[in-house]
Formats: sequence, structure tokens, C-alpha cells
Amino acid sequence: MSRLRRLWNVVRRSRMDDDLRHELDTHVALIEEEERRQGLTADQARRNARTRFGNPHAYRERALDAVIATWFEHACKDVRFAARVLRRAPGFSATAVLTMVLGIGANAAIFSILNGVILRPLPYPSSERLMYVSAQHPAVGTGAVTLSPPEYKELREVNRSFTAIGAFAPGAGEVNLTAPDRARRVRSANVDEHLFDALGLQAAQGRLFAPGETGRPDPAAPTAPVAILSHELWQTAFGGQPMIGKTVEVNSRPREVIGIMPPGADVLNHRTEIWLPLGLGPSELRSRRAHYLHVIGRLKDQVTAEAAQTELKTLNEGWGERVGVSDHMFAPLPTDGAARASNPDAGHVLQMSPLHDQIVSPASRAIWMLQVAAGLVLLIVCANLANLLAARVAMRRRELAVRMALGATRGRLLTQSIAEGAMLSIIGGAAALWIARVGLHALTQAYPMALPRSGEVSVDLPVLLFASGVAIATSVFFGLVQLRHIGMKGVAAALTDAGTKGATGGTRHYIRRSLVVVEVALAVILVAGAGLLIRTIANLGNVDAGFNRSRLVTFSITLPGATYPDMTRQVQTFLRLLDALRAVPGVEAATAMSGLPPHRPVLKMNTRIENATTPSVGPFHIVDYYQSVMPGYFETMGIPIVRGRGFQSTDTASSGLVVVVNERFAARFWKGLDPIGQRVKPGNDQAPWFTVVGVAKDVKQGGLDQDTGTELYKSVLQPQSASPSHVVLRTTLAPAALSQTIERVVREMDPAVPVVRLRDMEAVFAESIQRPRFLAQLLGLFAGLALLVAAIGTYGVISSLVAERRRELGIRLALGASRSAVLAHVMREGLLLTAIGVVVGLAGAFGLSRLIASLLFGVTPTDVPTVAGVTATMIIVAVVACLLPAWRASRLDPNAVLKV
Amino acid sequence: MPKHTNDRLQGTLDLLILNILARGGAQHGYAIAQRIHHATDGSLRIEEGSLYPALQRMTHEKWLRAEWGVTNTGRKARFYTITPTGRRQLEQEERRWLTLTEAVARALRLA
Repeated sequence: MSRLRRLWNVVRRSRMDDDLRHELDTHVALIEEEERRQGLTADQARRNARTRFGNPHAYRERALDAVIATWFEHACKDVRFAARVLRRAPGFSATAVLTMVLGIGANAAIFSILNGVILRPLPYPSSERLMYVSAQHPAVGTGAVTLSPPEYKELREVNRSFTAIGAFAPGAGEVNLTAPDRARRVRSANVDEHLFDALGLQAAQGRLFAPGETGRPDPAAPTAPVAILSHELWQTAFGGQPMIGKTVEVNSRPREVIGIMPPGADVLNHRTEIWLPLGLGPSELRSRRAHYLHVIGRLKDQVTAEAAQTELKTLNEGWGERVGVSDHMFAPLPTDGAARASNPDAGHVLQMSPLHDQIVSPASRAIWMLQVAAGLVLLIVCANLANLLAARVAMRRRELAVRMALGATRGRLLTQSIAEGAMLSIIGGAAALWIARVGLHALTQAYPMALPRSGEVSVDLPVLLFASGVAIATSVFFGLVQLRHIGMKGVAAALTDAGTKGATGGTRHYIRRSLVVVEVALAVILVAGAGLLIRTIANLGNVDAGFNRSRLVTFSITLPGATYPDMTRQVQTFLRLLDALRAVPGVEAATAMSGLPPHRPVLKMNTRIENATTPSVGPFHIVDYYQSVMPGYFETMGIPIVRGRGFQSTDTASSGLVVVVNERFAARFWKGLDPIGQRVKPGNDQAPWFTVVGVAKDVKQGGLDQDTGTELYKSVLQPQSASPSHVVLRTTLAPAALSQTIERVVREMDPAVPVVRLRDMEAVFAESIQRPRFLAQLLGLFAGLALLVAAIGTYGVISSLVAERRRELGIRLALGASRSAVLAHVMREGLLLTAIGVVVGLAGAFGLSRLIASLLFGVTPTDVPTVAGVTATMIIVAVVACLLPAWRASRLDPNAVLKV
Repeated sequence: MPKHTNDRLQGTLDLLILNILARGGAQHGYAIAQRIHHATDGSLRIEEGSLYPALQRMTHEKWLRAEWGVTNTGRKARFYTITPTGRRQLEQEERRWLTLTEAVARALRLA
């Protein structure tokens, strides 16, 4: 600790300086006294004293320099000594540094993610006051529902808890933007001006939407529609050129750019590139059935979250009387069928949660789990480090004891062993941070969509502090562990029993054995977790998506409403496009549809179903997915028709209206009835009846880990269908080989329409399980690290036990024990520790199973094959780790050993 | 690495200071300088410019301990005492010095 105090003194130079000045003054005064005693006058004495003494400033400088030089000299000596000590034991040093790099690196990387995604506040002023407001339907148990425009408007007017409430609608989520170089597809957010107030966003250039500008544009008004660009889009699409007041084409309509957002500005992790007006006109403000507004409010400063939630609840109760309507969704749940038919949306309650949770919660469990896993890796590393040190101290006891006997103080030895630790930690910490940076970069590149707020993840100051904290703790720990033994025992005892096994050897071995058990147990927990997630990935990969995924290439285009105002125009264009694509060499079949599996959100469409055998939830049945398809859909996708027929070229606008349903649909709604010939009314009561002509095999529309759901197919050649936007080609060519041809064909059709997400279907599905794959790979990596470090630990303990028991083993051999018996003896020792570790670890893994259960698919946390696999893995690792020391023990030469 | 250019002299000064403190108990800087001056009949005069840096350095080497006290004329001064580490250092320095001077003397005699 004296080193620290010296450093403190150097820092507190001024105080030292004061002392010194006093001291020098005293000296001059004493000379003066002497001169006076010799008979000089006070004046002369003072002058003489000054002359005799010389320049006190220079002395002060020199004195301080001397202190700093001494301090520096000592520090250098310690560092050189530490380097020499560590160089003398390269195996130890390399192992210590390597395990430290792995432990700290893994933690720094995961902590960067934890910090960037979860801990750091959202990038808005006072972001903790931002709330996400949604409606819940407790009676039905559905998740959060977005609000309808009239309810949003009413909430704005009646609430007293919020300073500002704004709305955001993803709309289609994307728009076509005609930039100078090419048409591109950009992510869009439709917002009103209140949202900017609520979030506290400011424009970096120009201005944000003005009041009245976000309503439905009046065709007669002279003002042009407006748009705001994100900083990133401004840079990439327009090269950072001045854009305010310029016109851009969005979905083939001109819009004036009125502002540029600051870098990173976004809403709800939407990765917004262009901000467009929300467009709530009189007709939108009447439609209570359309729930599409994400509502974000900023709490008033003096209002607590609890108070606001209570207010929302009371608002719920008097809503109808306050706004003068009965068909709102906050009306009490009706009891009789007729009332339910008149207001099928009733029974919702208003709910709010912190905006931060809304953005982060989908990934937070996975991230916390990874942090726990990284923490376990660090614990294993620490256990291993303690183990390495214990072994090293055992070997260095004589050296340390000799140095103490020669007069080195405990403080001095402690300083030196901390210098050794610091040296290891600095090397380890720096390498770890580098690894964390590289690793994070690789992770965010490989899994851009697996994390919300991934753009905010970086190795920044909190991460640096975290990593240096871990490194410093490690170095102090290092120093203390090294000296503990010397401190507890007298120098003489250390000198006499160093090198042999003393009475206290047993305790030390007990501690080191426990450390091995701890390492193995922690490794088992990690390996078990990784095993479960790897099985999850395998299960997801084996799920039958319901169609033939191989050799399918898909891309998306959107025909803007401005140039293609009606469905007929759109369908005609798509038919021409598909013809052109089919003519491309290597393309076997082509089709298009409205929704691409496996990323489709559940639509839950109200549908009237004739002769349904199951009771309906309202006046309608709820169908999970509608899919509008172009001709050749089932053939191109490879979806088998299990009953009846698919769509034919004769199913046109003028022929009878037909639909195809999936197997789940038929089984759910027409139990025991023949689905062919049954009738449905898709969408609303005014829709015409459609007749079922076929049943298709189930397709995993919503994701491999999701329930299949009920599905209804309509043909785009018949009324009431949605416009297609996803094209699928069955081809022998790779997407890369096709991309130029496809872009040319689409450009010839309409140069303002960009081709996006051109990929093969396997890649689309791989991306859909990105998050579990991300988790499994990281956890697998950690488990691998844990295994490696635990193996090193086991090897270290067993081999040092062998080294310290050479004499005993030698005697056994000399007394006639066979070499295989000695080998078995040592192996048994190692395997017993491993077995205890495995049992403890499995218990721990079951204890932690709740943490992981929700992340699994098709496997339970107590999965027997996984447990068996983990146990087998651990045993194999232990055998490998113990084999070398055991073999060495069995090769001992009794003569050589006993002579010593 | 900053090291004093006049290494031998520095060692000598350290030796003298340690010796005085080992024999005479707590002393302040002025007294130490006086002692050296008188003990050598004025042939060795310690410059204050060397004395104080040496005292600072030796305090930080833990050879000396410094405490504020009062001189017999009632003046506040910093008093230095030798520590056990300082005594060990003194022994070493003394041995080294005797070896060196003996060796030099022998070399001079034989040359």
C-alpha cells in the first residue's frame, strides 16, 4: 500500500511542498540565530543567512524531483521484477492471461450489449417518463392492442396525467423513395406533431411537422405534402447535400423535405428512415374498428406512474358518456350476443408500460441470460486463477520465505505480487477489450436484427470501467492470494516445509479440490444451457414449414397507389412481370402473393363462416391469416392441395367466387363436415359469399416456433383480395446470379419501383430464427470456454497433486503397486471431483431452468438426452484432463523419487 | 531512468546522514548539516541544496521518519529519526564504504 501512498503524495505535491518550504525556512532561521549569537546585527544576520543558504526554490524543486525519481525507480523495479518472475513461469503466465482474456472479454462484450440495449436510458430527454399506452382485452386474454384514431384523439383530450401524447403508425413500414441515383425502399414512420413533443425530438435541420400538417392532406390546399429525413438516409441517399425545401418522390408522389432528424433519432426501434405525416382525416377519426396507432405519452413531472395508471383506469369507466358513443373499445364487455354483435371490440382496458420496456422486453430475457452465462464464465475463470495461484504459491513459498527472512517486509512482497497481478491484468484486460470489440462487431454484423437498439451497442466508457474494474479486482485478488499463506504461517515453518508436504497441505488440497468441483459445476450449467439451445435450433430447423423451401428465390416490390390506383392495374402489372420472369432462363415457375412466410404477423380477421361447428367468439369467427395469391401459387411454392383443387385460370372476376382454406381451418371450423362447397364471408358482413374449392397443407406463416393458425387463400384475380407484394421464383440459380436480371425486368416495368430483400427462401427462414441462433451460438461459445477453463483447472490440480505426492506414489510403486493401479488411482481422484461437480452443476442447471424455459422450442429444461450428453461431455473432458498427470504418475521411477 | 549522476557522492551523503541519526537520535536538517560540518572540522560541508533532497528521498525510502517538533530555541522544525530499515541500510552502506576505501587504499599503496 505504500506505493499508493507515495503516488498520493506526488499527486498532493502542494502539501509536501508546503512542508518543505517550512523546513527550509526553519533552516534559514537557525543559521540566522547562529549568526546573531556570533554578534551580528539582525539585519546582517538575515543577509548572511540568505547568502549562506542559497536559493531555496531550487532546493525545493530538487527535493521533489528526488521523491518522484525514487517513486518511479521503485515502480520500474517492481514492474521489471514482476516481468522477470512471470517470464520465468511462461506456462503459468500464458494460462493466467489467456483465461483472464476469455473471462473479461466475454463479460465486456455481453455487458456492452446489456448496457447498450437495457441499462442505458432511451435516447430521449427524461426518457424514464415516456409511457407506451395500449389496450388490453383481459376477458379474451389477448396481448396489447394498438388504439384506434378516435380513441387516441379522445385520450389526448381527456387525460390529465400526460404533458404530451403522440401517435405513431408504421403503416406499410416502408415506402418507395426515388433518390437521385436509384429507387430505393426505405423504412417509414407515420407520425403526428404531438409525437415529437412527447419524445422531445428536435430537428437537426429545418423543422418538424407543424400543427395541422399531419392531418389528411386537403387535395384543394395549395401546400405540398411534407416529409422529414433521418440523418442516415440524408447521408446515404442524398450524400448530405442541402435538402431542406427540395422535393423528393415518396411512393411516386412529390413531397417537400422540411427537416432532417439528428443522428439516431427513431421511434419504437422502428429504424425509421423517413418521417411522414400520420394523416388522420375526418373519416379516420370516425373508424373505431381500425386499431393501428402506437400511442406514446410523456408523464407530467409531478405525476407518478401509479397515479397515471389509476387515471387511465377511471377514464375507461366513463369513456362512453364523456365522448358520446357506445361502440368504443373501452365499453364494458357485453354479456348477450346481440350486444356483442353491435360492438365486438368492447371489453378492453387502457394500459401503460414504460416505453423502455416496450422496446427492450422482447430481447431482455435472452440478454440477461447471456450476462448470467458470461458471469458464470468469469466465476470459472476466477476459480481457475485461484487454483493456478494456489499451485504457484505452493511452489514459490520457499522463495517468498527466503526473501522475508532477508528482510523484505510483507508490504513490499504484497506490492510486488500486486505488481505481478497488475501486469497480468493489464495485458489480460487490454486484450479482452480488443476481443470484445472485435466480437461485438462480428455479432452485430452477423445478427443485425437479433437485438433491439443494436446501433447503440458499443465498447464505451461504462464498458471500459466495467472491464477495468474486473481487471483491477483480479490483480488485487492475485496479490492477496499469493501472500495469504506466508501471512498465516511463520517464516520458519514455510522454510522448513516448503517443497515437502506439511501438515497444512491437506487443507490447501481441500480448497483446491473444491475449486475444481466449482469449476466443473459452473461449466455443467453452461453446457446444459447451450445444449438445450442447440437442440432448440435443431428442432426449429426440422420444423416442416409446409412447403418446399429449396431452390426458391424471393423478393419484394410495392406498386405505389399514386401510379397504380386500382387493384386491376396492379394485378395486370404483376401478371406482366411474372410472364417476363418466367421467360428468364433458369426460372421454372414464378408467382406472387400478399404475405411472405415465416414473417407474417397474425392478422386475426373477422370472418363469417357458414355451418361452423365451433361456437364463434363474436358475430364472427376469427381467422388467423388471409393470403391473396397470384396464379400458380400452390405449384410454385410446392404446397400440396390435400382436398379439392387450387385456383385455376377460370377463377376470374366474372366467375363464381372461390377460396382455398388450410387443413387447420377445415379441422377447426368444420369438424366432421366436408369443407368443399362450404361458404365464407371474408372481412365483413357486406362481403359476398365465397365457396371453398380446396384444402391446402398447413404453412408456417407466422414463424417456425409459432402455431400454424387458420388460413384462408383468395385469388388476386377475384374481388376483395389484397395487392401482392412478394414474388417467389422456383429456380436452379442462386439469388446473386438472378439479381441483375430481376432488377432489369422490374426497371423495365417501372423504374420508380425498387427491388428489395432478394434472397433465397432458406435464408429468409434462417433469418427468422436469428435470435435463438444468436443465443445458442454465444452460449455455445461460453460453454466451450467454460469446458476449456475447467479442463485446465482439473489438469492443473491433478498434476500438482501428483507432483506433491511423488514420494508417496514412488513408495507405492516400490512396494509393488502396479503401474496401472497408480494410473487408476490418480484417474479415480480426478473423476470423483468431476462427478461431484456434475451432480452439483445439474442441480444448479435445474434451479436455473426457469430462466431459459421460455427461450426453448420442442425441448424441456430437464431434457434427458441433453443431461446425458452434458454428463458424457464432462466425463470425457475430465478423462482427457487427468490422463497426462495420471500417466506421468504411473511412469515415476521409484529409485529417482525416493533418493530425493 | 533518472538516476543521480553523482552516485558515489550520494551514497556517501546517505551514509553520513544515517550515521549521524543512528548515533545522535532525532535531528533536524540544520543540526545534521552542523554535525557533519563540525565532525569533519569543516573539511566536509554539506550543501543545503543536496541535504534536503536526500532527506526527502530517504524518508520516502522508509529509512527515515520525519516528525514536526520544536527546537530548543522554540522554533518549529522537522526532526528526522532513523528506522530499522534505515539501520539495515546503514550497515550495508557502511560495509560497502569500508570495502571500497580499503580497496582503493590498497590499490594506491601497491601502485
